[in-house]
Amino acid sequence: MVELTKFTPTYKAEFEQLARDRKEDFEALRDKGRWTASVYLGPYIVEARLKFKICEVLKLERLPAILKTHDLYALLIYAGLLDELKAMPNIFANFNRINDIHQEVAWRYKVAAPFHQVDSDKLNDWLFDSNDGVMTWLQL
Amino acid sequence: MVATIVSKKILDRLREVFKRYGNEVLGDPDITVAFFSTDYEGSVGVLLTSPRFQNMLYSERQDSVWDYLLNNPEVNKDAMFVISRISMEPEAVEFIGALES
Repeated sequence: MVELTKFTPTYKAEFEQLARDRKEDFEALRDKGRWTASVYLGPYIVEARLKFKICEVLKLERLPAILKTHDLYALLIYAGLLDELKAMPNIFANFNRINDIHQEVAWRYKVAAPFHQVDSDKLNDWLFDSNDGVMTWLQL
Repeated sequence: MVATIVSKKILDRLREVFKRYGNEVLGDPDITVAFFSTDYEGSVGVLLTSPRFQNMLYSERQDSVWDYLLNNPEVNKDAMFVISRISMEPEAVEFIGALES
């Protein structure tokens, strides 16, 4: 049976900080040329920020345990942001691209390769482009 | 995983769009288009299979298909919004939760 009233041990403020930390980690990996690992890690910025947003929308200090998921689409729905995103097709497309990386188990096991710089640069755009970046939209 | 409720009309429309993408962008009229269910009512995942993806980086594949969807006036945006993710593979893979192919 799903326990609807359980909470994760992580607090709202920690998710807010976690998103900033993962952003710094993403940048540090890119600065060091660790392109492959940066692609694996990048989507966690979105995950942490959405978990913070859910706590904010639901006026909760901790995230409900049933939302302990890596599924960005599920987190988007419970953050109440799906319709808003659908009104912005370019950001919707970038969100989908990032969601596919996050769901794609293969990225966890890819050996570091210099040509993944292209993927890392693209992910950086999908996340932080000043007009269409998902994290720009999510205000981080 | 619960089967996703998306109308056959929308899936048929999307299949047509992805077949056109294969033909016009990849030069592959035999691209395989499959849909897989998600946990969300009204949403599907898409799996495209074409040997033309072999020499494309992950981000090139993603940009290629999404740029086609966003910039093609014939693509119905309401249909596009039922997609929760698009995966692209150079060869056939087995996956769980297939709706139809």
